[in-house]
Amino acid sequence: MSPLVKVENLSKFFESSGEIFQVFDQVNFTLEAQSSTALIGESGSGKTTLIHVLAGLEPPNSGMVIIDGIKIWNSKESMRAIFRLEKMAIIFQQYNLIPSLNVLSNITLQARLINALDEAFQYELISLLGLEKLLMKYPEEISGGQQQRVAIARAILAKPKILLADEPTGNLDNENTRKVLEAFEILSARYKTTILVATHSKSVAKKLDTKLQIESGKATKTVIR
Amino acid sequence: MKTFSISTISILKHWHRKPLQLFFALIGLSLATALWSSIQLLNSQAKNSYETAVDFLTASETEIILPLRSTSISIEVFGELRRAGWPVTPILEGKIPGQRPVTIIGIDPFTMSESRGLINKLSDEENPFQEFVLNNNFGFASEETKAYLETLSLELDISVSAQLSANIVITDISLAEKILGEQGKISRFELTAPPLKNWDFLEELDLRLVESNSLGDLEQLTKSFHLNLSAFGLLGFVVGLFIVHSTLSLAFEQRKATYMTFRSIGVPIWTVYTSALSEIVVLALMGGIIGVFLGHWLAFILFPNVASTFNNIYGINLGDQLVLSVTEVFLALLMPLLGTLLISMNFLLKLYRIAPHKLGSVVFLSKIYNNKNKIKLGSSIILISLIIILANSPLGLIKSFFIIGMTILTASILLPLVLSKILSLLASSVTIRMPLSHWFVADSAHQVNRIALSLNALMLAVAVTIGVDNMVKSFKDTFDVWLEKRLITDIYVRALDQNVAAQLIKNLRNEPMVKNIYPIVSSKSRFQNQPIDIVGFLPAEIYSKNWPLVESSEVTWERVRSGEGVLANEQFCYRHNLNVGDLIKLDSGLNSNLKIPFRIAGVYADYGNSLGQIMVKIDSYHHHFSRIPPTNFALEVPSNSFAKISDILTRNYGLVQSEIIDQSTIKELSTKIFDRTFAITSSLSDAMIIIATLTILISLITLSEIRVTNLAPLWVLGITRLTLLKLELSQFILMILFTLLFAIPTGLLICHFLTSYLNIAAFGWKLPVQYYPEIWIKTLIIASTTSILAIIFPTVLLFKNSASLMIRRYKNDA
Repeated sequence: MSPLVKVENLSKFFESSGEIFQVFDQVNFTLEAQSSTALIGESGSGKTTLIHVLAGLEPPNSGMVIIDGIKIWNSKESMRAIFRLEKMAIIFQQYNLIPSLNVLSNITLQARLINALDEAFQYELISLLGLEKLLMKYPEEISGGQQQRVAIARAILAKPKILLADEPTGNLDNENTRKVLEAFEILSARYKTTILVATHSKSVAKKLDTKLQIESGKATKTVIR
Repeated sequence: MKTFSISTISILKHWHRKPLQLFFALIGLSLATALWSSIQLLNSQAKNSYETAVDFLTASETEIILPLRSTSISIEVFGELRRAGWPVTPILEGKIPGQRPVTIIGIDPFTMSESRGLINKLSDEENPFQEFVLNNNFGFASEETKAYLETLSLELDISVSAQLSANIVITDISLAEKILGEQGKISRFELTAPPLKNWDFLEELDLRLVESNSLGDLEQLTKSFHLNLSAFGLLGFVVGLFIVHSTLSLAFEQRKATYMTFRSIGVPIWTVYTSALSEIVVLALMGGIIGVFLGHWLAFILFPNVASTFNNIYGINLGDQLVLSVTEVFLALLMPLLGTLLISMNFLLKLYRIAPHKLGSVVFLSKIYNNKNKIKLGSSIILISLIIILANSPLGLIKSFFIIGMTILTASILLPLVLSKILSLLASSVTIRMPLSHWFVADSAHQVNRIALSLNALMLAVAVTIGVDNMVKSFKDTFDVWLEKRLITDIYVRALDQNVAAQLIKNLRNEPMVKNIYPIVSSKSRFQNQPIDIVGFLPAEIYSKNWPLVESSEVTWERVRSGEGVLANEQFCYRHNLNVGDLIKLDSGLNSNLKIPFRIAGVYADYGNSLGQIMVKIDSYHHHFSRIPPTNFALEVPSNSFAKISDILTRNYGLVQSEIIDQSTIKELSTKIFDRTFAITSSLSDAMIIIATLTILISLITLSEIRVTNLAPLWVLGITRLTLLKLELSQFILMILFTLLFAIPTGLLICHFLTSYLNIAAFGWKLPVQYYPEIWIKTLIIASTTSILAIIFPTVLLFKNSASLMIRRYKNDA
C-alpha cells in the first residue's frame, strides 16, 4: 500500500510567557492508505495539536504534511478548507455539533455539503450507533456521550478519504465503544478510509493496525497487527 | 472581609482581561447618561429662565386687573385700590415708537412682591436692585435690544440682562410713563396676594379681574415641550442601556464558572452577591461620571436650537450659558446607577439561583427560549389589550405618553418573537437537502435571541424617527394649508390708539387701493373657570369662503352672521367636550352677573394657540363683551400694493413699519418658527439612530467571541471563511432589513398616537395624519446604510481573526 499521508520533519512549538514549549520536533511518519492507526501518548504530549496540523487547522512551525499528494500547508486557506470538506472528516473531543441543527441534520451535514449522502448507509449508521430516538432532538438536549456518537456518525457518513479522530470514545461505555469501532471497521473495509485515532484506551488501540507513539516530541510507529 | 476582597478582585479581574468589554460597557453607560443628563440640563435651564420671565410678567398670582371699558387705568385708581386693601402693583406696558416693536414694561419696585430678588436675578452686576431704585433712567434689556435703544436718543441707562428676550425693556414705572408719554396711566394691575372678594368695587372703578394668559399659556406649552424632550431623553437612555446589557450579559456568561467555583469552595452566596453588586455600582458610577461630562457638552451643542425655540415660541431668553449644579450631577448619576441595577437584575437573580453542583451541566437553551417566548407572547397580549382599553377611554397627557410607551414596549417584545417565529417556519420549510441554506435559516432563528436587544434598539430609533418625522411633516403640510386659509387678507394693521384707528377707518374707506377693511378686536374672558379669548370680527364672504373649519354645518355662517352663533377653536371644544350645535354661556364683559348664550356654529383649527378662543360677530362683541373700538384691521388690497399702502399709513397716520405687516411676512415668520420648533426633535432623532447603530456595532463585536464558537464547527468541516463571512453578513442584513420593515408599522402607530392622542391632550388640536413613504424610505436608507456599515466592521474582524480565534477556542476546550 502506498502512503496516503506523509509527514516530514514536522515541528511545532508554542510560546507562552516568554518561554518556548516544544510540542513535537522533526517528526516523520507515513500513514498508508486504508490503514488504521492509533495515535497514543501522555496527556499534553501533542496528540490533539498533531491532528489539528494534519487537518490544516493549525500551522506547523516547520516541516511538511502531504495528504493524497497535496502539500496542505503550501495551499491557500480556502483550498485547505475545501480539501477538508471533500477528503477529510474530523471527530473532535468537543464534538462540534451545530447547535441550531437537530441531530439528523447534524449527522447528514457534511455528506450533504459534498453531495455524497448515502441514505442506506445513513440508516445503517444511525441504527448501529443507537441514535434512532434522538434524530429530532437538538445537541443541547442530549448527553455528552450521545453528542459524541452524533459527531462520529457525521464524520463516518461523509465517507472521507481520511478520518482524524481525537479521543472519539472518551465519553463512551464499553458497549458504545465497541459499536464505534465497528463503524470504523466498516468505513475502512467498505470505503477504504485511512483512519488516525488519538486515544488513551489500550483496547481501542489494539483494534487498529498500527500504533504511532508521541513521546518527548518524537513519533515512533509500530505495527500492531 | 478578606473573602469579600478576594472574590471582588477575582470578579473585577475579568475587565482587566477583557478591556474591550469594559470600554463598551462604559461607552453604553456614558452615552445613556449623556443623553439623559443633557436633556435634563436643557430642561432645567429652560425652566429656570421661564420661571424668572413669568415671575416678572405676572408677579405671584395668576389673575390680573384690567380696565373694563378703556385701554388704560388712571393713577388715582391705584390709590383707591390700595386704600381698599387690594394687594396690587401697577404695570405700564407699551411700545416704544421706532422701527422695532420694543415693549417697555414699567414696574413699581416698592409694591411688587419679591421685586428685590427678581431684579437681582436679572443681572450679574453688584446689587442691581439698588441701582434700579436710585437711578431714574435705569432699565434692563437684552444686549441686542440695548444696542437698538442706543440708536433712539432716549435717556436710558440700560444694563444687559441675559434673562430677557429681545425687544423687552424693564424699567421703573415712572421712566416708562416718561418714555411712552403716558403720565399717570397704568396698563394693568398684578396681584401680589390672593384677590379680595369685593368684585363689585372693581366694577365701580371700571375694572375687571381676569386670568393672566401669559402664565397659563407658557406653563402649558413649555410643559409639553419639556415632556417631549424628556421622553426623547428617556428613550435615548434606554437605547444606551441596551449596549450595557449586551456587554454585561456576556461578561456574566463568561464568569459563570467563576461564580460557581466560588460557591462550590464555600464562599457564602451573599459575599459573591455583594461582590457582583459592588462591581455594578463601580461600573455605573464610572460610566455615569463620564456621561455627565459628555451630557454637559451635548447640551452645549443642542442649546442654541432649544434657546431659539424658546425665544421664538415662548418669548423667553434662556441666556447664553449652561450651569451644572451639584444636585443635577447627583441626579444624573442616579439614573445610570438605577438603570444598570435594573438591567443587572436578570444576572443577579441567576447568580442567586446558581447551584454549585450543576457546574458543567447541560443548559437547555431552546427550552428556556420557548418558556420565555410564552411569557413574552402573554405580556404582548396583555399590553395590546391595555393599549386598546386606554385608547378608548378619556384623553390625558400622561395617559397619551403611557400609550406610546406601551406601544414601544409591545413592539420591542414582539420583534424578536415574530422574527424568530418566521425564521423557524422558514427553517422547517427549507429542505434539509440544502444544508447550508438550512443551517443559515436555523442559525438565524437562534441568532435573533442573541442580538434581540440591538435589533430592538434599531427598531425603536427608526420607529420613533418615522413616527415623529411623519407627524411633523403631516403637521407642516396641514399648517401650511391652514396658514394659507387663515391669513387670507393681504395686510394687517395695528393702530396706535383708538383715535388713530377711527381716522384710519374713515380715510381708508375712501382709498381706492383698499378693497375692504375687516376690523379685529379681542378681549379676555372666562368659560367654566378657564381663560378664553373672545374675538370680534366681521363675518364677511372672504372668511366664509376661506376660514379653516374642521367641523361645520350647512348653517354655520348664517348663524355667525345673525349673531346667534359663534365659531370656536378646536382646543376650546376639546377641553369642554363641545361640538357644533352645542349651546354655551359666556360671561358678559360688561356685566359680571350676566351670561350670554351662544350656539357653536363651527369649529376651526387654531395651531399654536394654547388658549380657547371664540369668534363672534363684531356687533355682538361690542354689545356683550367690550365697547372698546378695534385698533387692529385686516385690509384686502390688490397684490403688490403693500409698499404703497404701507407708505400711506406711515406718512398719514404715524404708524411704524412693525405695525403694518403683510401676509407673506407673517407666513414666512410662522413657517420659520415652526421649523425652529422641530429642529431639536430632528437633532434628537438623528442622535437616536446613531446610538442604535452603535449598539449594533458594539453588541456584534462583543458577541464575536460567542459567534466564533457557532461558526467554528462549519469551518472545521471545510466551509471556507469567505463563505462564512458572506453567510454571516447576509444573516445580519436579513435581520436588519426585517427589523427596519417592522419599524414602519410601529412608527406609524406611534405617529397615530402622537397626532390623535398626545397632540390633542397637550395642545388641544387634532392633526389629520398623512402618509409619507418618502420619509420612511429616507429613514430606512439612512438606518440600513449605517447599520450595514456597523456590521461590516465586526464581521470582517471576525473573518480576519477567525482562524486564530477558532484554534484558540479548541485549545481552551481541549
